[in-house]
Amino acid sequence: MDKMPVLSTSPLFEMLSNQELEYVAELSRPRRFSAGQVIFEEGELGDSLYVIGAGEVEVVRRDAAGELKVIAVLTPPQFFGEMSLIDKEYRSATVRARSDAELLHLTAENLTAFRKQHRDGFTFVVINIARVLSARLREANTRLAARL
Amino acid sequence: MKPKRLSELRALIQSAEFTAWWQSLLEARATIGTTEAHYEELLAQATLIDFRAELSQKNAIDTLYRAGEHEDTAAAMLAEATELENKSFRGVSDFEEQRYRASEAWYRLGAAEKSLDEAKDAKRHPAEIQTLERALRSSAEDYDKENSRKARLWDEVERLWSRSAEVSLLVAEQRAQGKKVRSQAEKLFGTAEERKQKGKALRAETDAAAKAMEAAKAKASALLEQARLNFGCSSGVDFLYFRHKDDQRLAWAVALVDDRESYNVEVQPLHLYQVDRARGVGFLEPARAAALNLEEADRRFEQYFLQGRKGQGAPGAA
Repeated sequence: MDKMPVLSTSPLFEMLSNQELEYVAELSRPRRFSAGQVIFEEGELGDSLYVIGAGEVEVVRRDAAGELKVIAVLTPPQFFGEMSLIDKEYRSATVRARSDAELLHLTAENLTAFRKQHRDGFTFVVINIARVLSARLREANTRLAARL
Repeated sequence: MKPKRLSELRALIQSAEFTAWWQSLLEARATIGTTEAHYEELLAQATLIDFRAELSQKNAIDTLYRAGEHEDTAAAMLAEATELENKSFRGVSDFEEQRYRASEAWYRLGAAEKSLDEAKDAKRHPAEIQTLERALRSSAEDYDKENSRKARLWDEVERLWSRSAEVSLLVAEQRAQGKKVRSQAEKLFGTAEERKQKGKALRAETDAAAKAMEAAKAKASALLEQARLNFGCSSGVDFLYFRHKDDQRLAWAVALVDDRESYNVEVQPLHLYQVDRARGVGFLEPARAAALNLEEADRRFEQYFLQGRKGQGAPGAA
């Protein structure tokens, strides 16, 4: 997988310089998952995030009846797994490959190494995560307001 | 281990001396790969031929036992045939005796018939005729009995002759089988011996290949030792290590392998990594000379925070 086109289009790395992106590319490791394969499960400890390079993944959670429900489908160049990386909590949902998928994997240690080398770049990565979380919170608020 | 700055290390890696050393190491490692593959192939062949030699030897022994069994069977059948022959002689003798008895009974029967006919012709007393009639019936019964026994004895003689002939024929075939199987066993012993010799030759070749492989490994080790002496580094198997000139806690690691799986990053040959001295290659950071300068960084923050908002990025999940 050519890492640079994936990283440079991902919202996670928006505003990063080429030099910073190249460093992230070196730190990230490609992972391949076949359709249906679980990437991580709800309740697991997580210290890494994934950027989608190719294919689709689906985010699933169990409903009150215990049945798995797809709550989101993610495509390139979206990313996932950042919540547990930030709040150090257990994975809030299961993510599995919807089709054969190629992902870039970045651990907390990789991001720490990135921070040591590129402090501002790291700050932007954190800002980008905050932006995505903020967007999701707004969306949730809108849905909640519609139900009231 | 001499301390170095990253720029010094880069210059060293690009030097003619280092390039020549790296080429030698690549060649030595390629030779290790080739000799290892050759050694493993020969070892597999030698092990296989040894196994096949053992199998042939075992088959030869089993076949030899089978030949012995055929020969034993032939001997047992010959004894049975001889016994049957003897029994048949006794049977013929018994038959001859019985034939004599049956002839006697036949003569007695003829005499009884004649006496009865004469008595009837002479119109003798009915009581006498009745006595003669009883005597005739008794002679007829005697004759039937003796004649039947004679027939049974002849049947038995014929059965013994038939069985004896059959067994005698099979004796010959069993002997022939014995010879044939013994010959097969001899061939198998020959094959086993041939394979043992081939195995010996392959073992010798395998030993030579092992020596070549060890020599290639020794050459690679010598090159790593040479690197330690000439470049002032410490040498592992996958990396060369140099002390960091500006930070005692850090070191530089120069990759000597292409390994995309075993480390936290995809390791590529001659790429430079910064490692913590305590953790070593447990965590590799790609080596970089300088970070983005502060002015450029500041501009980006200004653009983001002070010059309006960008559109929201596509949300992730989980």
